[in-house]
Amino acid sequence: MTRKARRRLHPIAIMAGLGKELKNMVVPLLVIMAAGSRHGFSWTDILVPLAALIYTLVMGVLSWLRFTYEWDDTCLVVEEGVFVRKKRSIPLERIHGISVTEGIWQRMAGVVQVHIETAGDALGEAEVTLRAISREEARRLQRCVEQAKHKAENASHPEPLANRPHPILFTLSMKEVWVASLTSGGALGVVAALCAFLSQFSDFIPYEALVRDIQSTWNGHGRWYIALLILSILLAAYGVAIVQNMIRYASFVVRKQEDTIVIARGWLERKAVSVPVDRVQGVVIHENWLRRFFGYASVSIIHAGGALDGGPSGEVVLCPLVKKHRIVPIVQACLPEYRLDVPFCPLPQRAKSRYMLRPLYWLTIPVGVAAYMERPWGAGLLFVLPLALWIGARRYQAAGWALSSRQLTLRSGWFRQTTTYMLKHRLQAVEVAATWWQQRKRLATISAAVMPLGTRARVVDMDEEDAASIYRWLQGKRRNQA
Amino acid sequence: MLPHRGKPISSKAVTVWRLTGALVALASGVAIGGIIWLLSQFHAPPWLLIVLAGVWMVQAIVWVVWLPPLRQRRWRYDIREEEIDIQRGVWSTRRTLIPMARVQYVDVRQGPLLKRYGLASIAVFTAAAAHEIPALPMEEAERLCRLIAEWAKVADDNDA
Repeated sequence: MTRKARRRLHPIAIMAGLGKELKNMVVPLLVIMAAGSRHGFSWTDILVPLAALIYTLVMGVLSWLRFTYEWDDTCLVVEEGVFVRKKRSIPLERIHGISVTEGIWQRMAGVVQVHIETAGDALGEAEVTLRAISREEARRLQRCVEQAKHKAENASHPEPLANRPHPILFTLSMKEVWVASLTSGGALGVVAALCAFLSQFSDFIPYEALVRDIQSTWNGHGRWYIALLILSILLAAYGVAIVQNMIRYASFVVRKQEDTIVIARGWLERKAVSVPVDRVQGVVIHENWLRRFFGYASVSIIHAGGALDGGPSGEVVLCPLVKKHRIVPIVQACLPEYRLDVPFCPLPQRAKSRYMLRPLYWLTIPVGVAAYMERPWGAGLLFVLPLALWIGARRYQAAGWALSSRQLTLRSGWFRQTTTYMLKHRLQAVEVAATWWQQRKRLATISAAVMPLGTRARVVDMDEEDAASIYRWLQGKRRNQA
Repeated sequence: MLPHRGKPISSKAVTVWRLTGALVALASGVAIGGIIWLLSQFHAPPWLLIVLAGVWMVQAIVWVVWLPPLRQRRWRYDIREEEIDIQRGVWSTRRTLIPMARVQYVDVRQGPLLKRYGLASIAVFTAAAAHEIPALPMEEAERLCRLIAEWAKVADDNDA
């Protein structure tokens, strides 16, 4: 094979890298400066930040100079490192997924960033980022990877992949993007980020004085104002989450190219994620209670690589929001091995009381204490308890399981109902657990694990015999059935 | 529901776990003792000190006296050509099934305590998790390690 010459990234990579480094440095540097300038400002205070800045700049340029890449029909070779030189060679057929991103810097130069995932190995070097390469080059690399995989799979069909357009399997309309953002649970994430942000600045904000003020207002008649303040902060966070989601899911397109699912999305930052079908470990359908009310759900695929999507590791969103009756044909087209229209078996009647009582174990005491402390009005809190019973009953009804010769399906949850479809030959382990209390009622908890570390589906309080039947299903004589 | 036909782990596991529990209790005893001393310097109410000491006593008894034999009695393992079948757990009895084709590699592990009693553990790794079978006789652990490696390879070939 003729190997192409080693190449450098587009110089805009320096800027993109610097931008990222500086973003990480800015808070610690500010803190150092603030700490130093407590007793009046002098020029020595900017010495440390200046040194750090120059160091980052020099290192950025040097690492750009040292970073080279090349690939041929079989291998991608990356050389990098300023002080310690590192050469990595990645077989193309081992590449699990490729995601192409266009950040602000990359857009300015008309290039893209390519993130490559290989099988998650123990050494933690499972990924490579080519920070700035041209669009055609990225496309060429993707095609090479596809061809290498194709060749590895069936050496008998060496025909080159046709360059024809692939049909679109799923898109989001603007209205759906809007609904998806409105009903997403991302607001809590924003609140958490806000808290983290505030904690960074705890040196500057006089929290103690603030707390004292709040206390005095609380003891006066100001608690309504505080409640209002909290409410407005939450609403603002919700608004930010909506905007974030809209940017994220704008112009969402799913295509299937040969044996690869390609998901393109994003507005300011355009991103394309490709997942080979044979690396898919399972299909997950999430329905939060709000979306379920309008007949919508979201579909993700469990993927044996890192976090390609920026979401939780191992899950890639296939449809952020979709009418429930459309799910079956879409998944059928993307992943024909999975059967989604399976009939679910419910849990036995004797599990119901356990489901209903479970939230009370941890709710009763705090609610009781709060109701007592804030009496007489706090007694209203006691209404939470029957509500918890009701939610427990809903959770009992939502839970279920289904078993076919090749596939295990587990469903649980009510606020966020999760249904996980797993193929037998993808299951890494199945566990049946029963406490003494469960054994007395002939119930058991089943959990099934699939590939990326820690991904597991669980159903609590199944009939003991049903759990045992799933266990036996995975046992022995597997190949006779499959 | 699922009768386990597997083998128990070494009965010496009880002794090893008791020793580990005693060491942990010693360490936490030092920590809690320190806290009690500090509190008494600040004239904390005596009932608080008694509660702390009580907590320490209870956890020491649980970890040294009560749990080790229960754990040992519950442990079962069965290694067959197509799967590994494990039963464990005190509060909740857990049965785990790992298909042999999913096994990526196996380790034999031996800490100083296990070594003293001629024992070893094996750890079975899949892409999703690590599963450990603790406190087996040395030769048994090494035999199983080789066996699993062999069978995992065969199962992999058949699967592909």
